[in-house]
Amino acid sequence: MKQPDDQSKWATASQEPEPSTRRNFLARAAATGAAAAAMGMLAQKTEAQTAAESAGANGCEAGVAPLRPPEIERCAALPATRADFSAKPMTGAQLFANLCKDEELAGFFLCPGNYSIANELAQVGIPTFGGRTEGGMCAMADGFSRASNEVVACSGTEGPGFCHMTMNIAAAHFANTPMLVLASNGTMGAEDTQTFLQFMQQQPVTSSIRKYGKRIIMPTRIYEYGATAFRQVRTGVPGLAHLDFPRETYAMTFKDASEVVRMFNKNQYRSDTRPAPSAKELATAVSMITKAERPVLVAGHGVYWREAYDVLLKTAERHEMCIVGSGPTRGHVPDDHRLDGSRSTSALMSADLVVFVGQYLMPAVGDYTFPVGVPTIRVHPEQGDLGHNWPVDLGIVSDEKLFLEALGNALPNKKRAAWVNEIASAKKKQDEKELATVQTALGYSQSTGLLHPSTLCKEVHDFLYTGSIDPKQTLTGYGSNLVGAHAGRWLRGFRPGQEIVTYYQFGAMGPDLAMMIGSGAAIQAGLGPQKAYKGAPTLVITGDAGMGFTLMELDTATKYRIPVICVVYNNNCWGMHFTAKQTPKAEQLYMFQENIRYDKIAEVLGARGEYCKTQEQLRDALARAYKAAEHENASTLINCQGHKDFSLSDKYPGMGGFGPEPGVRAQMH
Amino acid sequence: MNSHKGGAVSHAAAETRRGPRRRQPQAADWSNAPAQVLTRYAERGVFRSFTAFPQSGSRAAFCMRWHKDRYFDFIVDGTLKTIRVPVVLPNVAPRSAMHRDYRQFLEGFQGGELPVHRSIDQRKCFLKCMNRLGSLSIVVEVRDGDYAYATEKLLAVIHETYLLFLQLGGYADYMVQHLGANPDWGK
Repeated sequence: MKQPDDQSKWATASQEPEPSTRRNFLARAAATGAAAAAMGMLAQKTEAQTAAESAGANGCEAGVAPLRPPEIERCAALPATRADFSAKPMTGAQLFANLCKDEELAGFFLCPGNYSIANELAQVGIPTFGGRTEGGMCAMADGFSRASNEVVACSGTEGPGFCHMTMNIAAAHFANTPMLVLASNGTMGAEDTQTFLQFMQQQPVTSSIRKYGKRIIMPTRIYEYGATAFRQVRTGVPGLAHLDFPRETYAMTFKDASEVVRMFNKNQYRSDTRPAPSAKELATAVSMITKAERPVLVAGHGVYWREAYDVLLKTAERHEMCIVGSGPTRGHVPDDHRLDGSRSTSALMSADLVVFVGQYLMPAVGDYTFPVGVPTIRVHPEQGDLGHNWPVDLGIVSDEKLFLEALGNALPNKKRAAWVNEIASAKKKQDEKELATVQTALGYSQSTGLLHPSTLCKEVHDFLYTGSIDPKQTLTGYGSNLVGAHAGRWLRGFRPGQEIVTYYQFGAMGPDLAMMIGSGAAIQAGLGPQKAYKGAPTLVITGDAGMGFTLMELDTATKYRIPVICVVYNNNCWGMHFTAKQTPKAEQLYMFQENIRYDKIAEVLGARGEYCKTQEQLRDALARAYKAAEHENASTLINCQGHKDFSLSDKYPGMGGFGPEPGVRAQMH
Repeated sequence: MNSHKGGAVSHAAAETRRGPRRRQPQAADWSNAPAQVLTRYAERGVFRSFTAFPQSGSRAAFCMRWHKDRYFDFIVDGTLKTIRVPVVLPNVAPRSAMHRDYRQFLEGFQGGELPVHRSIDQRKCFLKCMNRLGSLSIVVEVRDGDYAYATEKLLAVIHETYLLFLQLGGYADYMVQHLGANPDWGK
């Protein structure tokens, strides 16, 4: 795994207009890095900022518009420094920062607070991002990790900041994000005295939403517990570790290494060994798969985390197995692969064998669209989860990549023409049905003069995947209940990590924009599976309800020049207002002020704003937004005005039901 | 496998107790085969719970807790050579669009639209859908005495009803209102 050396890649942007090609992205990314290293740039303005300044537009007084703070470039140009015992005693915070650096922590997202730890992590050269709220930055860290496949950290201050993070800690936990949650937490000396310390017991709060947690109360063990946290997040099934630091730990000074206990090298405190399938288990699996006529392999989160996507495709192709991706990211099973079953829901019901590989969160029987009582093989890195929720006929404890490699070597070549045809036929029928839904929605849009969410999502699909843009280029995600139901149908993952399932499992409403800004930071740096598309824009489809949670983080995106196109479906309400059908007095609870101009708020925050009511306006707005993202690293919020009644199926029927799983719309598993 | 069901007495149990006495058919397969199939699925964890009621005359009854945490009664009649599930979908108005859609969905199993491995061989059994007081029920007429086949097919049809018909057919509101699905996620 690699990590960027410093923060310069977020400090500047190319000013040269270029067409949207993968080659140009690579070239631009290289030039960006070189330029940033060479200069300590003053704050630059985007075209949007310049225009706002000169015109006094968007509520800004003439001559006053948001400016990127000069500290962004200035700090990026400064060398990273690592404390050691040679010059002066080290603090606990410095010891912890060195540990994070040695562990190649790829990114650190915080809202200021937990100052000693946060500042030392930045100083030691870990790419660090400061933003507006702890919750937003926690979601950003989660998104960064989901897109980059790297370990990440977020931080908040004491009780209030930590509490603000909680929703997004849970979202990260249920996505098995390898993340450190770091929070300062009062002093042990004043614990239980009700002194104004913003103190609370943090660990009980995360006890059900973490893999590992520890309040570090012995200063000499700060390194040891930090190492334990990294061991926990990186090994087995990845997960989240929460450390809270009383002042006595991070502020303690140590004269030399002898004062710190168990300060081992990472090669001693953890191991990279992985379990492999036994010969007998492998032979049984090969026999079951070979005998099956219609096998389906569900490639879960573990396939992505272990970067086993290439061997997955090789193995599936060799034996013509249907493959379906699952987990908090999509694309490790490409949506355009001939064996992909993610839009062949009906065909999945024909499976006569299901092989789960790396499915960290198992559905219950009946949650997945497979035949009743279908024989099942499950491959998982930890024995304790085999048989959980879904009965298994063969359980194999194995690393996902090692299993797929062994399986690929052991399986004979096999053609399954009838099965492949059935998958293709089901996909064709499902696609035709989705297109019919769009046609119905188009009628609704035309009759109301407002954008229906189905129309919106199909337009985004056509823009990203059927025009001049490389379909694999743009990183996407979606949130919101109403528009999300349509976005899942039309956003695509053609390569690993291309689509982030922001809702995954926990279903948190609102963090999607922040999460995708974090994902955007990963693609800007070209980390992990994003490497080939370094510098490409990120697009998120979300709803107006979600805007209440993380809209302010557009300031963070603009500050760091992370180009995010945020398409907001604005229906003036919480889409679930139909739940008040039988209690009409409650309907007002779901309403916002109508016609709120989120695009104008974006402009005030230094991003671009677009406002659309028709398909054609959206098409043009997307083109302008993408151009600005490519050429100025500018973010854009596209406010798409919809109608609150579009979520009422009695008035506007024909929009389909809940999303079947596994498949393109899967959010729960 | 007998697991405690709890709650109200099921239709199956009531019908078994109250049903008219009929001459028991010669072949015992009419009760054994469904029992074996259902027990096998129960042991594989398909159902959350499963109860086989004591046989009564030519009737055998079973009850399982299954999709959407609902109880499904299976009533096998050895004289009529049928297997009946009285409530597959509740609260469906007779002659409603949903009723029509569901009939069409069921016809797909017998009309050659599905692959052979999912379709129903009409020489072996025949599927009928009825609406009784707003509940959609399915009756399978067993034509060749292969009760195991009929049971397997009936289970598959109900399974596909909940995973394909409802999920893909635009019945989100129905699932929320009548099956207790969460309006946000459908579960």
